[in-house]
Amino acid sequence: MRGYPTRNALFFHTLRRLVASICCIFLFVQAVRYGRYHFRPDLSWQRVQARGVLIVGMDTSYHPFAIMQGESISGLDVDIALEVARRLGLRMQVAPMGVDGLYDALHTGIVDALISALPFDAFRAGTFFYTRPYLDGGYFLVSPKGAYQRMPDLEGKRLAVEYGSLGDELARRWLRRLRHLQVQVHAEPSAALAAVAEGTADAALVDYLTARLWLRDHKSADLRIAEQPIYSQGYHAVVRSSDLALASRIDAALEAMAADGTLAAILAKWLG
Amino acid sequence: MRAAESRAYQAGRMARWLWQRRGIGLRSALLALILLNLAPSRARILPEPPQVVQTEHPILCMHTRLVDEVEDLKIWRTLRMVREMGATAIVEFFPWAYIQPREGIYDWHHPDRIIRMARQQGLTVIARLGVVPSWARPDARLQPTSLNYLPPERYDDYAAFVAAFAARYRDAVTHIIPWNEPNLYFEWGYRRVSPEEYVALLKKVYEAAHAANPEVQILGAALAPTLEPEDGANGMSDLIYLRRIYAAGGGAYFDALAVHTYGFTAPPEAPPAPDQLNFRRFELLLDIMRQFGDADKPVYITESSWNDHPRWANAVRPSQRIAYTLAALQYAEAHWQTVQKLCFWFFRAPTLYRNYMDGYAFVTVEFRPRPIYEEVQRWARGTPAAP
Repeated sequence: MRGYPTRNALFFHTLRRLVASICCIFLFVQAVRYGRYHFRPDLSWQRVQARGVLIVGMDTSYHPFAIMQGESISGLDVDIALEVARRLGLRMQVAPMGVDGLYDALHTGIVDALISALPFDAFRAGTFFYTRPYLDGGYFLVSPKGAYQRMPDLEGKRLAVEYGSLGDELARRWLRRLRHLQVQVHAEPSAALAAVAEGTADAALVDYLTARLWLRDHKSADLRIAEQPIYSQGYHAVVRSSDLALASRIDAALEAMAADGTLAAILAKWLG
Repeated sequence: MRAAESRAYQAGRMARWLWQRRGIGLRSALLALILLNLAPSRARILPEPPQVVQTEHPILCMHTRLVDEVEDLKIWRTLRMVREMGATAIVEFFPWAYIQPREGIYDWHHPDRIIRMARQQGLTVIARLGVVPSWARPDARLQPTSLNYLPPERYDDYAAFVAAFAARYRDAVTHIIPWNEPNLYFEWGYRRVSPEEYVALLKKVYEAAHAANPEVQILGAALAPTLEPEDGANGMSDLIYLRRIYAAGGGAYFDALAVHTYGFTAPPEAPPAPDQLNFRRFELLLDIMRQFGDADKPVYITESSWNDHPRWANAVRPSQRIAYTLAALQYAEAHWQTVQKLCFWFFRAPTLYRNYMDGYAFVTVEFRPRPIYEEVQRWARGTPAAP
C-alpha cells in the first residue's frame, strides 16, 4: 500500500521534473539552432547575380583544360566556364591556382565554383555538389572503325596499353577473365594507338583525352573511340553544397550546352 | 513443513522484489545491449607460422604508413603484401608523442603490434622516431610551437625515449633513425636549422641508445634533398648540412647514414650535380663521407621514388616510373657498395591524400596492387620484366 509522499519523495519528484524541463529546453534550443543553420535561405544565386561576376577556380597548368600564357588564360575549361557564365547572364573571372588549392578556395568562398577537370570524389560529396559531367576522361577502347566496344569482345585479340597506366591495370585484371587476351605494353599511350593503326594490335585501351588528341593529329588512321568507357571518370563543375541555387543553374546551363551542341563544339575545338 | 513454508515464503518475497524492480532490470539490459553493440566486432587474423621473404634482391625495401592504421587486419595485409613483393625490410615511423603521451608514461600497444606482425612476416624494421609530445615542448600558452619543436633542454628526454625503444625492441628493431630531414625549417620545428644542434642531439641519442642496447644501429637522420643555400628560408642544402655535421664531429655518433634521394623527372642514371635534384645526388653525399674518412659506413636509402600523378609537375608517366624504379634498383646494386637497403616511398596509405602524394603509392587504399607493384615483384623474384 502506498502512503502519502514524504518530503524526500516530493523533493526528488520536483528535481526530476526540473531536470526533464531543462533537457527539453536544451533540445528545443539545439533544434532551433540546427534548423536555422541548415534550413537558412540559400542566397548563393542572388549573391553572384548582384556581383555580376562568376568567379571560377582553375588549375592553370593543365593542358588542354586551362593554360596560362603571360596574362591570358585559355583552354577547354575556360571556354566552358565562359559559356556557362554567358548563359547565366554573368561575366566570368578565372581565379588561377594550383590543383591542391582548388577545394580549399571553394570551401572558404574565394571562388564560386570550380571548373578544372575534377572527377567526382565521394569523400567530398557531403561538402561539395558535383554537377553533371561535361566530359568523360576515363579509359576507352579504340579500334579500327570502332569494331570493339566492350572488353569481352577482345577474347583472342591483341590489346595495346600504356605500361603501368590504369589501362594496363584494367587489362591485367581482364587477363584473369579472358584466357586468350594478349596484352601488349607500350611506353606511351600514343605508341599503343599507333600499334592499332599499324595493325600490330587489335585495340588500344587509353584515356579519352589522349585518344581524342591522337586521332586529331592522325586523321588518316581509321580508328574510332568506343561509345561507352571501360572505366568512367567524368569531369564535373563543383559548387559548395550549401549553394544549391547556384549549383542548379550551372547544372542546367551545362545540360543546355550538351543538348544544343555547344559542349560538343567546345570539345571539338580543343580535342579535335 | 515449517521450513518448506519458510523457503516458499522467501522465494515469493524474492520474486516480488524482482518484479517491483523490473523497470530497472529492463533498462539495464537495454543499456548493456546498446553498449555491447557500439563497437564493431574485431576482424580476426588467423595464426600463421613465421614467414620468410623470398627474394633475389635483398636490397629492396618499402616505406610503409602503418602508424595511422587502426585495424590489425590492414596492418597484417600490408606487411604480407610487402613480403610477397620481395622486400626484406620496411621503414616505419613511430611518433614519440603517441608512445609517450605523458612524461614517464609509455603506451607501447601500437608499435608492439606493428613490430610483432612485421617479424611474423620475416621483415626487418627500420624505425624512424620523431614528433615531440606536448609535455616536452614549451607551454603552448606562452610559446606556440610545432610538433617538431624540441628545445635543447629536452634532448635528454628524447634520448631516453629512443633508449627505451631500443631496449624494448632489442631483438626486433636493429636500426633507428632519430629525427627526419633536420635540414628543413619545418622539420626542425620552424627554428633556424643547425647541424651543430643536431649533432648535440645525436650524441645524446647515440650514447643513451647504445647503453640500452649495444647492438642497435643509430642512423644519421636522412636529409631532405634541397637546393636551399646555407641560410635559406626553408632550410639548408643537404650537402652543406652533412659537411657541417662532420665538421662538428657528428660522424662519431651514427653507425650508418639514412639518405633520401628522389628522382623527380630525371632518369636514375642522370649524373649528379650540386644544382640538380635527382637520384644520383646521393653520390655527392658519398663524396662528403669519403672526404671525412667515412666512405665505408653503411648507408640506408630510406626514401626514394618516382611519382606518376597525372597532375603534378614533378611526376613522370607510369611507364617511366616503372622503368626508372627498376633501373634505380639495378644501379644501386651494381654501383653503390655501401648501400644496404633502397626503400621506396611509399607502399600504401591508410586513406587517399587527394593530391600528388597518391602518385607515390605502390598499392591502392583498397589493397589493389598497381602495375608497379607487380613489376617490382617480378624483378625481386628474378623473373623477366615485361617489355
